[in-house]
Amino acid sequence: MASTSNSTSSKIITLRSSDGEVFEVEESVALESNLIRRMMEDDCANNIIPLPNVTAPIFYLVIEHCKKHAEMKDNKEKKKELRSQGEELLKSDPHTYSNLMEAVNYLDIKSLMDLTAQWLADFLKGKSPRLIRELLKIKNDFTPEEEAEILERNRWAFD
Amino acid sequence: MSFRSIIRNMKGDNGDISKKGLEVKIGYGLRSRSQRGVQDIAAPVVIDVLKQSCWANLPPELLRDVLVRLEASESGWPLRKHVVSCAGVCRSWREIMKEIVMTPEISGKLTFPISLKQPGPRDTLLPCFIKRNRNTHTYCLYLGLTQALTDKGKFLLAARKCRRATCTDYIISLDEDDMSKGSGTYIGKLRSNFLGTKFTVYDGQPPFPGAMITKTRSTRLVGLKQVSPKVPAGNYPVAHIAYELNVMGSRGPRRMQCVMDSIPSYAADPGGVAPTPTEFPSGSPDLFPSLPFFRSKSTHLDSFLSGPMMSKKDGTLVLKNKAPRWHAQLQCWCLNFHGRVTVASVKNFQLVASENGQEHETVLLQFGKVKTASDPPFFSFSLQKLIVVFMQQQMRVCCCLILLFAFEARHLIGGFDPIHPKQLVYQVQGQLYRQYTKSKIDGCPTPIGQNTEGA
Repeated sequence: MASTSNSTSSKIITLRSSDGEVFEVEESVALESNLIRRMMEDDCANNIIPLPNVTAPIFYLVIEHCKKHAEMKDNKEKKKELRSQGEELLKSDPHTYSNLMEAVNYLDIKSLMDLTAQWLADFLKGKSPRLIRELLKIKNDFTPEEEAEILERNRWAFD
Repeated sequence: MSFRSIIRNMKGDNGDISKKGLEVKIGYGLRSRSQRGVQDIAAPVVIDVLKQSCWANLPPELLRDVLVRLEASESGWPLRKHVVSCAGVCRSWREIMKEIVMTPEISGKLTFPISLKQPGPRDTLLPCFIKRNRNTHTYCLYLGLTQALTDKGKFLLAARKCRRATCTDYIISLDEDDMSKGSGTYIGKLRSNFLGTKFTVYDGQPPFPGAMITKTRSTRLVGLKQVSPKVPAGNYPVAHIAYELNVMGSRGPRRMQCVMDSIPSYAADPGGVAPTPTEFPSGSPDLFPSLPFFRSKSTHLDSFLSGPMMSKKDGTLVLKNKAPRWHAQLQCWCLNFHGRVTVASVKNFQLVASENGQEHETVLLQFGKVKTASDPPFFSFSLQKLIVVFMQQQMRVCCCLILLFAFEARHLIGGFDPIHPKQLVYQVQGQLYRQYTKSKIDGCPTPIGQNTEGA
């Protein structure tokens, strides 16, 4: 796919998100997704490829990231830029970030799966459970007794 | 309010919660008084809450991947605390983290406090040191993080000396400032007899399901189920240590024997397994119902019924200190610590498994003095005495350390033991020697291993 990325007559693939919006994407970008690649190999991608599990805003994000990721190869600055964008999204809108992770997983884009998982893992470092819950909007489902017990034992780790 | 009416109220609450959907704020604070009684009823609420979280739809394998990355990158302390942190976020995260984190036996890493009660790694050593604070009668065990003498280490456990009328107790806790038995940080205690020659290690929690609890100061044994289904902090004897001076008095090699009641003898064999608890028993029994409390259990229950026993029982792991070799050329007793111990002392020791009088070669635990920056050599019992310990193989980390406390305690009772100025210390090729002047070894029994091997 790298060989076709420079050609001017790059094939355009049409994709449709779950909310009916149609996207036209260069083949080189679309092929980052193993799901789409498999569909094309199986010849079931002659017309519009439907993506029932991905909404338009999320898909837009995925394509953006895919494009940037294709550009960022051997480019450290782009890499940093992409990373800071990912972290920004994680901070400002964890809900969208989780949807992005799901979409990337559904579309089976290996490179982005690695990146999004790594960003999240790095994001979690050095944060207290309470802060993680607040930032990622995760509900605390421990009972007060359980939480008190966990906090009491966790003190050991933070001594 | 009767229990029944609380349940009725709770049921009402639950109905409300599921209807309100996203905007529900579950008033944990308001209901905390009644929470314990109605845990099973609260379960549907928990599931409901989880669905409301934006991360709930994320496939578990993705979350797992994230946490695996985190776990792998934070391999040593103090970074390891981030792993503990993530395990405290919510139930699903905790479950996943517990699955990812391996026991120290497999990973060689300590993560959750429960790792202290699990067998140590087979092939690698866990370097530790003990710091003693004479003013507060507290001993703290640290995991060594670097080779440097200024290493601050990772705090593991603390023990505090409490004198009783006929014995001395050393309370062992996860928290240096909280030694109370009722707290969740209580681990167990070590009790010495009046003379300080025999010690019993008590675990605060049963070493395996159904273990017998011993009531302090009485021989009455009570079955666990009769006491309480909630597993109270009790006194479950898990090891007995006997300590004797040899004929040479305090100057020669000493003998130490540890009977590990809760560890079967085959645990020290290659491929042997030792009981591995996976969770501290919780105040609320339903906290993590999916995790079995113990993966394997020992069957040496009866050993408790006979009370404190110092004789070797079939099937129980017995540890003895390795006999030092008499070095004829250097005229001293020596033990090979492979360079990890830097101050010669008669108190340095290495423990090996002993079966039918046969001592294994592999050192399971070694204990010896090291010289520190703040502690000049020959001034070895100052405030900041450091002791290097290595834990290996199927020994429970916790047991090791309790043994160490036992050993340390013996010295306290035995009093100050300065190194005699006439005794010379050699450290040659990683071997540590303590030389006694001729007059000191007069009348000693046949030295062990009269070997003229050059140093």
